[in-house]
Amino acid sequence: MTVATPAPHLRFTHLDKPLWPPAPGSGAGPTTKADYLAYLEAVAPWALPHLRSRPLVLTRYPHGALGASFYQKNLPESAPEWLPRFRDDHPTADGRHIRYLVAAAPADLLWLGQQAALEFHPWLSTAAAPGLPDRAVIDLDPMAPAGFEEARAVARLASEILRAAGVRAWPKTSGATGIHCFIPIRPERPYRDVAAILRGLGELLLRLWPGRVTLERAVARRAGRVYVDYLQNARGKTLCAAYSPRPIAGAPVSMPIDWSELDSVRPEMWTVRTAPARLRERGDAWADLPGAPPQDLEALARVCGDALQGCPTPRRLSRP
Amino acid sequence: MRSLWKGAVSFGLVHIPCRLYPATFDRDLHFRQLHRECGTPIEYHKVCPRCGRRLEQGEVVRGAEVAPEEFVLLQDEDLAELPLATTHTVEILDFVDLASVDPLFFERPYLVGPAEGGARPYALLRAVLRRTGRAAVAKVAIRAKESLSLVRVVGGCLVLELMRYPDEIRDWRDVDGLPGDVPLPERELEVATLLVERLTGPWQPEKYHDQYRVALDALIERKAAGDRVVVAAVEDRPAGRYADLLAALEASVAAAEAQRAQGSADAH
Repeated sequence: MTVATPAPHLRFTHLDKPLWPPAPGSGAGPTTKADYLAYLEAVAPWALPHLRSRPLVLTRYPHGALGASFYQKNLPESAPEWLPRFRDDHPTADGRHIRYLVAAAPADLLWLGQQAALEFHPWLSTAAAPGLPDRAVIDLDPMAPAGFEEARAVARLASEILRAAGVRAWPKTSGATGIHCFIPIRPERPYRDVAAILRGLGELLLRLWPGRVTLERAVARRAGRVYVDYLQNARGKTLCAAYSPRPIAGAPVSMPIDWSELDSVRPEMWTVRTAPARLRERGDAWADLPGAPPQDLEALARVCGDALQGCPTPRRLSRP
Repeated sequence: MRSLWKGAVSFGLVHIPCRLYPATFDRDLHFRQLHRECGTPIEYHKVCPRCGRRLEQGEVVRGAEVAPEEFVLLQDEDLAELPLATTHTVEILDFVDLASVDPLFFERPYLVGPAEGGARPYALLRAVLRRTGRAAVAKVAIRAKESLSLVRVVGGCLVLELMRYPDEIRDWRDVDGLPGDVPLPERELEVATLLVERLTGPWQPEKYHDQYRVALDALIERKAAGDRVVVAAVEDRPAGRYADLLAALEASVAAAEAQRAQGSADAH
């Protein structure tokens, strides 16, 4: 099996290796490394603008999606020297400086495929200002038995609050059962300030819909509700990128969508095999995100704060 | 706007009294250096290492090093005798197509405004540059140096671009390891072209800002505020201002719950 490669200096091995088992009952075959490489090559023009200048954390699955995995931040010694990288001036606990991959070209993505990096997570800040995020995220993560349907309902409610605040967010499926909304912001606040404002949104959602929403830190107590993970707005805590696949049978990918599609989508609609067709047909639903004006996060904080005040059931909230 | 130079642009028999203004702002933040212990801004002094003492302004002269440790002294009078025909004149030498001048040559732009009696000839030069699409190559003495420059039109104004001389520009052939015309697979070119087209749009300079500068300003502002984390305060806002919003949101939740109940009823 061969892959038409735009990277003659990259050597690909084990192309027939199955990386994802088929979705149960789909009757399809496994998704191989060749499939993954072809996917990365096909989606590069749409995926790369959202990765520009963002250090990447990779999750590698050397034995396929259901095998053991490990996070990889630092580029290994063996990484080709032409890969663009970012040296973090902020040292690790043991005083090392991590060199992150910053994907800029299709070949950089193909290298991810060769490494069996089945998930990639970009920072919410750019290399230009590592401590000041230029994206805020609303991470809606339903906990079984809640699923995508519950995430969809909470996303709809969140979109009403965003609309009232005049803040535009760009939604995508997580590829699993969740929904991620990205908000471009001016890189002028540290992560904890962004997290504090998103916590306000989480608290309003919880107050409005306690049966469906949870902010519980203890995983066991989130069951059956949608966890609003405002703490994803933190340094080094990264959500999967737009167009990153997930380590789930059937190889689903995290797909940017338009709000008007929210009611009709299913996360398993788009996989490593099927996503390129959607993109060729419809283009990137997030095409206008990279150039979009920064949104007014203070307005969101005001709306959430005021609405919380007006809530009929007073409950003392602790604020950071 | 304060001009930094007054003179004339001349070509042929045309003589245009003009003023030059800086065309750019320096937006960089310049740090002051302080004595760590007492926080006082430090001063720089000129010291002679041989005599071991501070020198006053009048005790310093300029010298050109002609051989190691061997200097020729140059006084202001010496420099005044040098031929600088272009003193306070922008002397136009040639006209060229603007597109034929590589931006590598441009060093620093100045806005050119007409001085007293210069309005009509200024308008003439501006009109003719516009009509022909040309730019004027000129010599000008500015900042104690005779410089090459290019006069062109930007909007309704003449702009003087101070230029580097050709011997100040490095030859790109000196760059090590430049690839020759490597054969590239058509597929690779297609993907790269698609990516470029995806990112192509009109030139909108207002889209870009210096993120490092924004971050630095924010850092300084936070430090000046005693590193307090400012989270939007919600305490003293009149309750009920968002009562309508709240009512709408609660209605949405109720509708969603009703729909869910309906859905599970249908399923059973």
